[in-house]
Amino acid sequence: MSDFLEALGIINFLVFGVGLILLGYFVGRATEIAHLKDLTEREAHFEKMDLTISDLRTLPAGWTADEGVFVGGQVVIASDQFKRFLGGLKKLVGGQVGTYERIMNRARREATLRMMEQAERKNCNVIWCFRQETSTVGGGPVSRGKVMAEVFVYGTAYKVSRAV
Amino acid sequence: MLVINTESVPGKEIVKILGLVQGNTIRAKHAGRDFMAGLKNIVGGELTAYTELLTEARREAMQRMLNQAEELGANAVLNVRFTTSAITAGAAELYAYGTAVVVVES
Repeated sequence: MSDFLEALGIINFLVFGVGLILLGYFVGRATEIAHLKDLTEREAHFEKMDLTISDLRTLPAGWTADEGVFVGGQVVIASDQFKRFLGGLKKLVGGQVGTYERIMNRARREATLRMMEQAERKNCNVIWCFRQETSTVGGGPVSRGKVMAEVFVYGTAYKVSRAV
Repeated sequence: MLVINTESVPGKEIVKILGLVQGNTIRAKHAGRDFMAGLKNIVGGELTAYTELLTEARREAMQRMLNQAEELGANAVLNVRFTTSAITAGAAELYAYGTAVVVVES
């Protein structure tokens, strides 16, 4: 009976411990690569368009613009089991957590692109007064210890004709 | 490189706006520090280890922002803003952003 329980414990560990980490590694990696590719393509589109983003509050003197419109983009992102495992290891020694940095950068690029796409739909060519907020989502018993963050970026989009 | 959090520079004129530059870093405190902080929570007071950690991390985020500005050929970063958030228990993200510009004496 105890042998049976022990075997059950090992199976449990393999399936829910190692298994989920491996699943997280493969699926997480695949989605990350696909997402990064998608981000690069969408960013390349905006590079050609020359959409200027700035966090200044006022437009430079000499620029004429319409009244402006609010644009924003947001995304909530979670880390996979493998990254969480690496992050957990890193927490023992402290220091920079590269895996989490990559996740946050992906979230930020995605949110910024959503904002830029909104500005593009409104035929604007600059986004001024750019601001960013990040907040942690969850914290309940299920999500404790997991990485789930929201990135929200916003600004005012203008159609400007540039004097400079 | 001039780094300020106002929108204009007295005595200088913005001749070119190069756009947003940003830098981020995520830092975890190590288990030892966490333990000491736990002890400190009993008596209260400043958590010096955390202060140092965050100061250092903020500097790192700012440096990454400055590197981006340098790549764009800017000589100043204006309107610098910081945000900080707890990503998970024991790890914080520091994020700095600003507008890279070229300024000249007016």
